[in-house]
Amino acid sequence: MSRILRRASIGLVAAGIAGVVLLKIGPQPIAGYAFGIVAGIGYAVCMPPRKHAYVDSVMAAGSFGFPLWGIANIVLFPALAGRFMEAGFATMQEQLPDLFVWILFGVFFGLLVQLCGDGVDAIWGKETLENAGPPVPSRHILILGGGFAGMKTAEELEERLAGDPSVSITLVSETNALLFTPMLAEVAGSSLEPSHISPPLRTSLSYTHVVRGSVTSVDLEHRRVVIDGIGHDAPGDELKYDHLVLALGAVSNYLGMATVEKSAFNFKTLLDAIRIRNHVIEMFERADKESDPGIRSRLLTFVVAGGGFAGVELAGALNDFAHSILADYRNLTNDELQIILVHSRDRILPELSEELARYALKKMAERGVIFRLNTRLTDAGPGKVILSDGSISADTLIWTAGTIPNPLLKKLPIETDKRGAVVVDTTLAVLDRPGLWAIGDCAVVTDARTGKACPPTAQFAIREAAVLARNIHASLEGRPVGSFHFDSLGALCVIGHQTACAEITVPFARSKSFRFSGLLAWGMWRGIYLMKLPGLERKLRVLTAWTLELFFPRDSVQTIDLSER
Amino acid sequence: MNLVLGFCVGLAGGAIRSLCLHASLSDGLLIGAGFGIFFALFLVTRATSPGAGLIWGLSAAFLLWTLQQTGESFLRISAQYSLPMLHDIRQRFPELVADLICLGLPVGVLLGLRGAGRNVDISPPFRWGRAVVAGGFAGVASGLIFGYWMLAGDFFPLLAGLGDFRSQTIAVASQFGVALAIGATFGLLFQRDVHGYGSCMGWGVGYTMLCWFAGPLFLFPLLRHIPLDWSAEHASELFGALVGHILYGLILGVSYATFDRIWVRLFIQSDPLNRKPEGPGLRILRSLQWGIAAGFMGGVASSPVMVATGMIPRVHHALVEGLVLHLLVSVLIGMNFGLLFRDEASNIGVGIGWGWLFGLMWWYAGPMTLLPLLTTGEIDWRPSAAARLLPSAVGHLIYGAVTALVFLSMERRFSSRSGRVLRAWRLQTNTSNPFSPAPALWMFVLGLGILLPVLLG
Repeated sequence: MSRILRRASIGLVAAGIAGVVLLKIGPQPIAGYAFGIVAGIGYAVCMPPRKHAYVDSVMAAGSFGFPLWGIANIVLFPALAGRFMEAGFATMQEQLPDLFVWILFGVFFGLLVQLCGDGVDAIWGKETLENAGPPVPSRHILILGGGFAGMKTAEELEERLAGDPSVSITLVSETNALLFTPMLAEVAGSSLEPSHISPPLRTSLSYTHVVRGSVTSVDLEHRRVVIDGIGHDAPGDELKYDHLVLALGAVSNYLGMATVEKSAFNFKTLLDAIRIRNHVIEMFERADKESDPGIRSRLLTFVVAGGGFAGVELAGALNDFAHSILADYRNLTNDELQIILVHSRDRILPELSEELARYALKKMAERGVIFRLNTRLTDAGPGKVILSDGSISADTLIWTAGTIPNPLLKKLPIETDKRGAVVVDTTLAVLDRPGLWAIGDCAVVTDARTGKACPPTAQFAIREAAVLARNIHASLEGRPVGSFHFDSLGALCVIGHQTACAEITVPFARSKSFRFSGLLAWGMWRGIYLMKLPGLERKLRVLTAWTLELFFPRDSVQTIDLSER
Repeated sequence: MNLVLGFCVGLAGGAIRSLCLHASLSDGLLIGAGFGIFFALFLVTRATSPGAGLIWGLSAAFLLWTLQQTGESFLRISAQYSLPMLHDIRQRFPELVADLICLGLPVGVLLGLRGAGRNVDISPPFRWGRAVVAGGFAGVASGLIFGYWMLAGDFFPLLAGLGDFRSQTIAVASQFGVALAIGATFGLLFQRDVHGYGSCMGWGVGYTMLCWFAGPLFLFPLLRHIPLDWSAEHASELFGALVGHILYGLILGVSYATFDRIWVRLFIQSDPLNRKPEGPGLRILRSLQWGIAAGFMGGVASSPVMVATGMIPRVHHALVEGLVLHLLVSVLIGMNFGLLFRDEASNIGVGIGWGWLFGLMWWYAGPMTLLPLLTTGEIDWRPSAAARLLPSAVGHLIYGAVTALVFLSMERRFSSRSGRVLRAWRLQTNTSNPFSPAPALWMFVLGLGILLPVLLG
């Protein structure tokens, strides 16, 4: 017998007996009795039983007699008699004697419901949640990747499944926090603290099981995934699944240049940003005590490869940071500092319109960033960066010039494109692999309405995740799945101190867009991304840091030992 | 030992009861001894602190008085009831005062004191300084709400029954003195029962209701050396002071919880060792969010009664405008519920109990006080005003219950989704905890809160 039915039966019996009071001395015996039974059942269902709690039960049920009198005698009975609108003080005074009848009913009911509850407990055993045993999940959803796509999928699934104990959600991530990449350049530029842009996955997700680790293999036939174990020799952990979400993201693509990969800084993770920031400070420290102008120049030259969003934002942030801390190094001058952005095409920011790209180039150049357009990076070595049209003496090279989907995907027996991204249909399902899904930077997603490939951006990954969660939920319930369609809302790029470019798509006219630049666009950038940053606490921390930045210089404290690089 | 103590205190109380009511001493002794033995036999395990004992004592005395009315009426009149019985009940009002003051109060407090000593190992530690300072601050801060009327010199709700003062300065000082005394004694009595803002508000109202009986009806006449007058007619004259006491109790409870818990918030809950999955900021926002939804649903459910009782046209003549305003206010009060009652209830039944109480309190604070204050600039706490507004109290009760039901459903849904366990208050509340005085508080506050306006109106 279910708990509700058991309690309702007890309430029915107790109210049925106690209702004799209403039948005998109530002014409307039948209606009162019926209402008393309904109220009694409701009370018994809502109040979990406790052994021998007679006085509590009597007092609680007796106290409920007061509002029940109001509802029954002042509202319900007059309404049944067609006099609902006539409720007044006179009615209440007339009905006052019935108040005591309802209290008497409540007291009797409280006594009887406890008596019946104790009796049922004695005969059929106690009603406990433990009797049912903890529900064991029978279906497992496994999400690989803790980026925007993976975390949003988990969040959406939590919302849709609403704590369904028969379904478990597990998320495997190499880090234990989501990296809010739009603000990564601000960490490298010492504008924000690293943890401010990384909400912990365990805090953000309510009941998803978060596993920190790297995926070593995926067995699609037997539906299991192996993640690396703790320690070098430890066996990997095996995770089984019914639905697998590939949201492994992308890694830097050095185009086969091993020397560049060895000597350049990557710019994909929080640790990369922390390293870059500390490295810049290290270069300033060394340059400050260096007397050779050539070596000083090399130390103070920072080369960023790639003129996309990541490269431009990083160059802008580094330019601001470097100039900000320059004042603390009395032996160094502004002329010695060089931030160089190398880009293989004729214009930066291909994601934005040409007009905005020109604006960005002009503004950044005015602020001291040097651009080398139509120039390819061909090699790099200690203290030297080789370009297609010459070389630069520099101790710092940061690579943002290209990415490829996670290499693990190429090892799987599924269809991928030439970059290694998983090909999915418009429902985000991997072809011919039921229960296998892919989204985000590691997937080739085709818009169901336009038929065009979706760009690998966070904006699209989040929307893909929402559709994917809906489809997985539908699959679990045997409902038809839906297709993915999303029109880009636009793009925003901050290029330096209080300066940004923004291109916002016109609603219902997707081929057109509004363009903003300068302070207004910068305000939009900060406002929009602050809203998008997950977690109120993070928002407040970032807002505080941005406010403090208006009054105090950026921090130039070194926080990590760079020898580990 | 409890039986002996209950018997002796009850006996003494019964004697005083007879003295006050000018009734037969033997009857008084019999009633007093019976009450003391009843309490010692059935309720003493609930009297784990002086505050818990007091509430159980008062509610038991009140319940026995109500059952006495029904029993006698049932035996005498059988099926037909009308105004004569109201008259009978008004005639029995002095007995209610006597039962509360002479029996419920002393028996509850003394057996509660003994219970506190008995449970000293399992109860939270008691700190005198904290109780008096937090209670005193809360009392004075709450007393300030009457500052406007006090400065106007014509209204001192906590001093009703003390007669005229020679100067306004003495009156204001006396008012704050009484407020301080109520606040400090509240802290002493209820320190161990304070867990959340909402429940503390309930204790505050319960305690100041008792203060209305104990002050204007008992102590103040004794101080003035005038005969005690516990008639319903005299109590009607003091009805404005009752509303004042209830509002004072509302604010006292919330203020005390704030003062008492502030150091807990700042120095204990901020300790990483005590960290909860949900931080205070997010917790407040979530409570407000649920409160908005719950308040809206409560507003929808109560709107037919509000229309029927004339509350909505009273605000705006246009029905649609009135309904919109009603829903808006409902949402605001729902947010208030969310802030006060988060994690107070361990199950829906307990939640509805607090919801009834919250709805009734808002009847006193809203239509009785704030609404006339905002619309006319004056308040009207006369029994006639209460009589006019009383039918809408039913709407407020429905509002409170539905708001609590929806709020608790959302709270439970979140809890089950996140797998997070509600705070320790669930252990302190109602049926899951044998020591909780919550049902007794509902009986006392709900009962008197509804009965007194009908009886004295």
